[in-house]
Amino acid sequence: MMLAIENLHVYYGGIHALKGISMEVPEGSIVTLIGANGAGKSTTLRTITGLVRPRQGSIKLKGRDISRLPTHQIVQSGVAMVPEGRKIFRNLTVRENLMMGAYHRSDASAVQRDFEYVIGLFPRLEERLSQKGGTLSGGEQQMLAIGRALMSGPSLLCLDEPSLGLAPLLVREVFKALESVHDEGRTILLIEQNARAALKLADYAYVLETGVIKMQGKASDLLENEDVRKAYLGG
Amino acid sequence: MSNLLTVVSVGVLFVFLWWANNNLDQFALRIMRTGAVYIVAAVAYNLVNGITGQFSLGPNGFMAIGGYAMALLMLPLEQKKFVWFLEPQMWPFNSFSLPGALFVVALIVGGLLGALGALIVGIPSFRLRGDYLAIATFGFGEIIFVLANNLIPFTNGPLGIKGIPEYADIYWCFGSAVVATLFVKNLVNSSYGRAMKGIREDEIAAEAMGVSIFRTKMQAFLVSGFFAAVAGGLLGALVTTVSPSLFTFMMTFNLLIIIVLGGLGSITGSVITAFGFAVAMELLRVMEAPINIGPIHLPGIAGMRMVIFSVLLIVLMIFWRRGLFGQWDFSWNWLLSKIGITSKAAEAISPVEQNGAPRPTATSVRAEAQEGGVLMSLQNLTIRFGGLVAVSDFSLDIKKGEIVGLIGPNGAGKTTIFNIITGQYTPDSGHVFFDGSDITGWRPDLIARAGIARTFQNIRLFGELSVLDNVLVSEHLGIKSSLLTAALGLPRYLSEEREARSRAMALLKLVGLADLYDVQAGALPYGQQRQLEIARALATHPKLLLLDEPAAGMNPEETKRLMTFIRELRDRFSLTIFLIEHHMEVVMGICERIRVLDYGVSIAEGTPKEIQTNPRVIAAYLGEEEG
Amino acid sequence: MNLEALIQQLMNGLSLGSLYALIAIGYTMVYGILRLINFAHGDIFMVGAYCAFFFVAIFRLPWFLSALLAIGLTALVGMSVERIAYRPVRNAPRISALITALGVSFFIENLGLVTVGARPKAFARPEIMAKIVKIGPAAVSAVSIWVPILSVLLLLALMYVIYRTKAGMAMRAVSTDIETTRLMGADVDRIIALTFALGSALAAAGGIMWACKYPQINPLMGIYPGWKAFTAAVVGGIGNITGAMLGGLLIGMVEIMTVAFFPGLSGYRDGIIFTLLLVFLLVKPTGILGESLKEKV
Repeated sequence: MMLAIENLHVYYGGIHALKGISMEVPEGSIVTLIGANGAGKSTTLRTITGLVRPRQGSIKLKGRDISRLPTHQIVQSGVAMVPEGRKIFRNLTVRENLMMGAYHRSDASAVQRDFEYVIGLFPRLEERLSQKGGTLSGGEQQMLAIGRALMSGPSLLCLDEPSLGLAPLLVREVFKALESVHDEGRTILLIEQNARAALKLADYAYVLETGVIKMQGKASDLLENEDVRKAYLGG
Repeated sequence: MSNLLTVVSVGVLFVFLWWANNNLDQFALRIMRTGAVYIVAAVAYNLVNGITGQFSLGPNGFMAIGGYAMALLMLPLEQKKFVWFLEPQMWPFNSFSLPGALFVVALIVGGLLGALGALIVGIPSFRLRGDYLAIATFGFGEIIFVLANNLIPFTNGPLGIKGIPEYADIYWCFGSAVVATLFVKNLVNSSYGRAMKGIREDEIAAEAMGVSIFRTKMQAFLVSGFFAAVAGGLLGALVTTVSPSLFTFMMTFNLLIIIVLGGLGSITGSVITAFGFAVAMELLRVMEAPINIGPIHLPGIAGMRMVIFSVLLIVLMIFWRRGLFGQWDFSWNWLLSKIGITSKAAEAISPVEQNGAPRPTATSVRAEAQEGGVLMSLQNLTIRFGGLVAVSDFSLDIKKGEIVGLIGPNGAGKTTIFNIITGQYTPDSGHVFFDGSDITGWRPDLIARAGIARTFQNIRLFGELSVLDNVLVSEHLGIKSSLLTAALGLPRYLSEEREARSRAMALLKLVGLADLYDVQAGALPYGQQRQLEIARALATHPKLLLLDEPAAGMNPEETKRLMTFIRELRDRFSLTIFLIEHHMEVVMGICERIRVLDYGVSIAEGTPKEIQTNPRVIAAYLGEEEG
Repeated sequence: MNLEALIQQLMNGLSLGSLYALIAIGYTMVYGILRLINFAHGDIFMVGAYCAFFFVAIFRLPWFLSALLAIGLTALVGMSVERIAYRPVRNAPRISALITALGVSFFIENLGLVTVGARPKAFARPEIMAKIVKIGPAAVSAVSIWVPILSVLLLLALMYVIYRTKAGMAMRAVSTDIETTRLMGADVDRIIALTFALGSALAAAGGIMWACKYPQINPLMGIYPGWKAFTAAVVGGIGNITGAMLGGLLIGMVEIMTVAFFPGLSGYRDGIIFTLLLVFLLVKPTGILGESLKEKV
C-alpha cells in the first residue's frame, strides 16, 4: 500500500473540514478523490503534504507515518504535489522551475534522466526552457507543474484539480500525459472537480461530501452511478 | 452613575495632588509630573497604534511641534533675546510672549498645530500599507528633527530654547493627563472608537459595513497629534529647555515600549505603564555611577537602561504580545461587578432596550417589497486580473424581494462578481446600477450606505471585539453626532448610542446570539460566527443582502435552519437576497431563480428544476459527456 | 565648481553610492523573502566594521584576514538575529515583526554603546587605500576608487550566487512563493538563514569599506547609512536586487551632489534623503524597478 489514511480529522479555517476519513492508494494505481466544492478535497491533499496538520488520525506512506513531519521531509520521502492553481515560480525560467522540483535530490545523472523524461512527456516545454514561468499559458503552466513534480522522482504523485481553468482540449492532453505517467508504474492520487474526466482515468474513486467519504468504488462503476450526479447537483 | 464615579475619582486625585504638592520633595514631584506627561503622550500614541492598528513611528514629531510652539509663545521676551544669539529670532515671535496665566492657550495652540501636522502627514500616508506607513511617519519625524536643527531663526537649532519657566506644575500635568485619558477613553468606547477598532481588526470588512476608512484613520490621527503636541508642550515646560534632542526617535521608541508593555489597545494599560516607565527612568538615572566589571567598563546606566528596554521589547514581541492588559480596559461597571454591587448585564442593556427600536427603513410593509421592480442591474461586467479574464460580459437583473442564487464550479468568478458589486474591485467595463444610481466603482463604504450589505466567503469578523460590538460597528454609519460630541459624552450622542445598542441587541436576538453579546467574536464556534456575520450585515439596514457561501461547513440540520432563516429575513426586513452557494440543497431549496457561472461567463439561468436538468450545467460541474 | 572638484565629488558620490548599494541589497533581499523591513540591518553594518577593528587592534591579525573574518562573523550574527528574534514572529502579525526589528536595532546599538563606549575609534585602514591617486587634474583618495571596484566585484559575486547556483535559485523561489518552495522538498528555514547570511556579509563588507573611507567608527554609525540605504532600496524597488544597486548609486550621488552644488544645504542632507523617501512612498511605492502587489479579498 503506497498511502494509507486512517480516521483523519482536520480543522481548517475554523471548520471541521475532514471528519474521520479513511482511504487507501495501492502502489501503482490511480486513485481519485472527487466531490463538490467545499467538500474538503484540497484540505486532504494539503494535509498529506504537511501544509496543514491533522488533529487526529494517521497518514502512512509505505507503512511510515508522515502526518507529523514537516513538508520538506514529506517531499523528501517521496511525495510530490502539483498544487491547486499550479503555483509556478513566475520569476524563474521553465528550466529552473523543473530544477526546483529536483532540489532535494543529489544524484545528478538521475536528475538529468528525469529531465529528459519530462521533456519527452511535454515537448512544448522544450521550446520554452529559457522563458520565465509567468509567461506560459495556463495549459503550459499545468504541464510545467506536473513536470516539476515528476522531477522530484516521487513514489506518489498528488495532483490538486489539474483541470482547473483549462479548456477541454487541454484537459484531455493533460490527462493523457497522466495516463502515460501511470503506465510507467507511478502511483497517482488525483483530486478533481471534473468528475467524469477523473473517473475515466482512475482505477478507484472516493467521493467526498462535507468532509466525509460518501461513496467509494471502482471508477468505472461510479461513472455510471446516478448518486454521483446527485452529490454534485442535488435533486 | 459612571460619570459620578469619575467625577468623584478626579476630585480625590486632585485632593491628593494638593497634599503631594505641599508635602513631597521636589524629586518625587518631578517624577510624578513626568509620569503624567508620559500618560498624555502614551494615550495619544495608543489611539493610533493600538486602537486603530495603524503603525505610526512619528509621535516624536508631533511632540516636537507642540514643544516648540509652547516655547515660542511662552518664553519671556528678555530670555528670547538672550537665547537667539547666533541668529536673531524670527518675527513675530521675537516681539511678544504670553503671560504664564495663558499657558493653557499655548498648549492648545500647540495641540492644534500638532493636529494640523497630523492632517498633513496623514492625507498622503494613509494609503500606505502597514510597514510603509511606519516608514513614512518615521520619515516625517526625522524631517522635523532636521528642520528643528537647521531653522535657527525659528528654533535656535541644536542649542535649543533654554530658560522656559516651569509652567508645567503638578496640576497642569495631571490635569492634562486626566483630560487626555478621559477624552480618549470616551472616544474609544464610542461608535467612533468601534469603527477604529474595526479597521484594526479587518479593514476590508469594516469598509464593507460602511466605515469610511480614510476619515476614521484621520480622526484617530488628528486626536493623537493634538494630544502628542500637548504632551510636547508640557514636557518643554517641565524640563525648561526645548531642543531637538528632546524629541528624537528615542522618544518614539520609549512610547512604543510603553504601549506594547501596557497592551496595544488598552488605554488603562498605557496609563499605568506610562507612569511606571517615567518612574523607572528617573530611578535608573539616579544610579549613575560607572561600574567596572573586569575588562568591561559600563559608562553609567544610560546605555544599560536602553539595552534592557530593547531586550524587554523583543521578549514581549516573541512571548507576550498582549502585554500587561491586552485589550482590556477598566470601566466602572467592571469594578462594580467585581465587588458584586451590580450585574454587568443590567448596566449594559436595559430590558426595554432589548426589544429594539427599529429604524424607519427597516419596517417597510411587506406588500411593497414584492412589487417586482428591478433593484439591482448588473450590465456587461468584465474584469481582468493580469491578463486573465475572470468575469466576461456578465449581466443580471435582480428584482426587489427576490432570492437569487449564483452557482458555478470553483474559480468561476462568483466571489469576484460580489466584490465588484460591493466595490472591492472596479470592473474594467460594465456597470452596476442599484436603486436608480450607477454605483460602479464606488467605494465600499458608500455602497454600504446606499443599501448593499454582504457576508464573506472566509469569515471576516472583528475577532477581538465582542459579539455586540461587531454588530455595532455597522451602526456607525447611522451615527450623526460628531466625534467631539461622542468623546465628550454629550446627551445627544448618548441617546443615539442607546438606540443603536437596542437595535443591535434585537438583531442578535434574531440570530440567537443575544445571550453571548459580550463574548469575544473570535471565540465563537464556526456556525455562530456565520450567524454573527449575517447580523452584522443586517445592522447596516440594507435593501440588498449578498451572502457568500452562508452554508459552508454546516451539517444538514443547520442547513435546514439556515434556509428557513434566510426566507424569514427576506420577509421581515423586506430584503432582496443574492447568494453564492455550493450546497445545492440550499440553492435549490430557497432560490427562486438561479444563474450559473463557468469560467466567468453565464451559461444558464432558470428555476432550480431547470438548472438541475440543464445539460450545460451538468457538464460544467461533472465534466464533459464525451466519446 | 571646477573640474577638479567635480571629479572628486563624482568619485565621492560613486563610492558612497556603492556603499549604500551594498547595504540596500541586504534590506531588499530580506524584504523579498520575508516581507520584513529589517531595521537592524544598518547596525549589522556597524558590527562588521567593529569586528574588523577588533581583529586588527586586539588580535593583531593582518588587515585583509581581519576583514574576511569580520565578514564571516557578521554573517553569523545576522543569522543568529534571524533565528532568535525573527523566526518566532514569522507568523505573527506584521506589526509585531516590525516592532521586534526595532527592538533588535536598539539592542545592538546600545549594547555597542555599553561595551565599547560612545567615543569614536580610529579605524586602521590598509596602506593601499590611504594612497592619493590622480584622476585628471583631481587628487583622489585611493579608497574612493577601491570602494566602487570592490563593490562591483562583490555584487557580481552575489549575482553569480543568485542566478547561477542552486542555493540562489532556491532563494528566488522562496521570495516568489514560500509555500510552494516547501513542496519542492526544500528546507525553507535554511534558505532564509542563508539569505540573512549573505545580506549581512555584504553589509559587513560595506561597513569595513565605509570605515576605510571615513576612518572613524562608533556604535551609532549604522543608523543614518542604514536609513539611507533603506531609502535606496525603496527608490530602486523593494524586493529587487538590481533596484537596490541602482537606488544606492542614485542616493549616494544625490547626497554628495546636492551638498557639492548647494553647500548651504549640508545641514539638510539627511532631510533631503528622507523627503525623497517620502515622495517615493507616496507617489511610486513600488520604486523604479518594482512590481505592485494586490491584496486578494
